[in-house]
Amino acid sequence: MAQPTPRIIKETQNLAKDKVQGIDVTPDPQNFKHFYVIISGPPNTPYEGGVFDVELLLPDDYPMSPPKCVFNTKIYHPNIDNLGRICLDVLKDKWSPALQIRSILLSIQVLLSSPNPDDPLNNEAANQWKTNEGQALMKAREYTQKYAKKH
Amino acid sequence: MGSQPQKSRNYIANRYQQQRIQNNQMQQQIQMQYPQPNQQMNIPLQYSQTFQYNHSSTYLYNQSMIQQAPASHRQSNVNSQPQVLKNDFCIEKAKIVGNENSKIEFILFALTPCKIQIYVQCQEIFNPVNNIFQEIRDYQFYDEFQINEPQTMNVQFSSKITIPRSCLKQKKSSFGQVYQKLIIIIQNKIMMMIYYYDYEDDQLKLVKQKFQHNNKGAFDVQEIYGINDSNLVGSMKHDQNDGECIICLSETIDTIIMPCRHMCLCGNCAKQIMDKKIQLKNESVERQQHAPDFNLCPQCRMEIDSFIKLQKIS
Repeated sequence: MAQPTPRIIKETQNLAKDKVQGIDVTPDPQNFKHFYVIISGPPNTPYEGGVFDVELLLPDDYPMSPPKCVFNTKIYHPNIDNLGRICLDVLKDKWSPALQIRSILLSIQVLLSSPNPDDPLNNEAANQWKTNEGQALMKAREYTQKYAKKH
Repeated sequence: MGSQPQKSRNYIANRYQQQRIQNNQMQQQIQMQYPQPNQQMNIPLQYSQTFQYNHSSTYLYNQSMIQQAPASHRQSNVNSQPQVLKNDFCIEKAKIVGNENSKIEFILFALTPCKIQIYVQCQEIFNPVNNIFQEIRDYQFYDEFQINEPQTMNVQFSSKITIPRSCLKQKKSSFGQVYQKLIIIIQNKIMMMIYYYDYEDDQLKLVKQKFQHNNKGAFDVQEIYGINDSNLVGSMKHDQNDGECIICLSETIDTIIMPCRHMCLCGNCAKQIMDKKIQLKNESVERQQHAPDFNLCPQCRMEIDSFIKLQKIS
């Protein structure tokens, strides 16, 4: 397998050295481009108390292309569909090589606390958010209880 | 511009002395290395000619300046070697003190004897053809100093004349040309620096600097963001992560992105960005839509026009 670039080595070291609150990153020992991430649901959101498994994969031309992120835990969120794909501008066209794994994970954490139903990926959830936010939040909380609890 | 922290004053004073000795080794050369392909055709290398980069003055203006040659020069100098111009003096921390009738105070750094002129509410005239400074017209107040000795100890000077603040508040213009509120010119036989100040909230604010060497025409002096972190300038901070390219996190910073003047890349990564852009052009429209735009500065997302690579020359 190819050697990790200095950037990936450095980022991995930095991620291990100073941790972000609520985000836990474990690099895959077999593959330096693969990271297992656990994001705790931010407080005062329907995701509070849940732990979400996120998988992060760096493309070959990283950092010129954005990392690929997928939620492995089921979540009810207007910008995350039921396959776990994330609709986030910095993961697509707004990616800049100046961003790092850390900034991407922080963006995902922020996305959890501020859903954006105007740019939906999960249409059903987005409609629910727009028409009846209370019910949407309740359903999100339900999903968190059901799927995102530590066992 | 000019946000030098106060506490480092003494330190800087010492730096000047060292810099003077090292000046010959520390000169820098700025040249364009990666012209973008589409520009190569019609516009000759925009930033390839004479740039001036000098240490003593960079310390005064946030350690960063870059000069853009006047249009006339872009044509003539395309194929010649980049030239290094040195700046021998600069003015720092110009401020206005006193109540209604105030004086102007500033700190001078000069390696050679020089002449300083202060003009209030005036019009400056540049030669429209070669952009050489000609004269100052129609000023309201005028003051002049003759400095006969080199000044390297950050001496403070104060204007002999007093200027009413009300005069600086006026917005004057004639025939559509706006008057400059305050201009300080410092010159010796070889070069001149022109500082333009505005008057805002009872303070002087530096808005523009121009530099002219011999009769080469006036250059705009502009700041380079991030040059403090690079190893090209004796870095003041010594953090572990300073001076590293934000893309590969390993090489030293040496490339400036134009026109936003962010200095945050190494030469290799700048090249990679360009390669990526060309590569993307050959891909399908759909892929292009979802791909990141490589033509944007990684720091501010402003469109990239060209890159300038700095090199230390010994």
